[in-house]
Amino acid sequence: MVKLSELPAQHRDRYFNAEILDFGETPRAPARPLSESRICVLSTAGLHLRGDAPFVGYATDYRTIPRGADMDDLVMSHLSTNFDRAVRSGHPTKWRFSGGCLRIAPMRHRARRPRQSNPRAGPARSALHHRFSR
Amino acid sequence: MSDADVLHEALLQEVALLRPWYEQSRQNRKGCSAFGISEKTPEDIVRFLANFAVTPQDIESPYHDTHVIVAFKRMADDLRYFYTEAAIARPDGRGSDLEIANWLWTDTTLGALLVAVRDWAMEFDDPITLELAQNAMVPFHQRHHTKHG
Repeated sequence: MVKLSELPAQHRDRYFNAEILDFGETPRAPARPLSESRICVLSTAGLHLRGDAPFVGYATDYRTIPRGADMDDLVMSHLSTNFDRAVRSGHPTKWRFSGGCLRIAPMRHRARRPRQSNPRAGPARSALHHRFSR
Repeated sequence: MSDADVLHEALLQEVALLRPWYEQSRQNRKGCSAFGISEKTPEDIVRFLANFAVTPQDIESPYHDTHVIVAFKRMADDLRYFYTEAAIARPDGRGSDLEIANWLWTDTTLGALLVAVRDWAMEFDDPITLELAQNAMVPFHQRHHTKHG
């Protein structure tokens, strides 16, 4: 999962300032004891069974994953490339603890000079140049 | 060889080099893999990506009722999963998710191609293409590679 510290300020501020609905103490339905309840977990991670239609942008539909589904048949078609970070959690050396709160060490990016491109050319030219000019 | 052929060969070579590591990675997770959302083979995907990178406006979507840039995105995501899972299995010190991402976006032909397509898409006059380019082609932590950031 992408860290807040890595988001551009505009996105970070939007998440920090997003309006959160307050339902108070009123449950949406009378609660039954857990042992008498059927549990359904809702996720916006874009998980679904292999072979299901992948999710697309602004999707409001859903896929069901039966309780007995084989984990090998689960795939994720969330659009955000930032969720690549969920493939493996952060390396311990990237993290440090401070005052009981998990803090994230700053990333060090190699500075690069923006490449010049010809807007009329297809993207392949710069890809080839990038790959084979080193 | 055409530009598309050169790209295709380079991508095929990467896929061939990574495949044993991908299979090892999959075996390590008892057969579980995130690869497969496109329902294409890596070889099919690299052919599409190479052609798309050269003549994006001439390529048709291989999926019914799916915009070509969405098809591109779906296959690109799938191939990134293939690369990433292969990298996880390699015992060469790429220990963190960020190091793996840095490798993919900096050192591979796939990364260079995806950055180039994103640079192109950011200047293309199509709302769906532009929106995907702005939000879902290159992760935030790798946008220093791109022209538009």
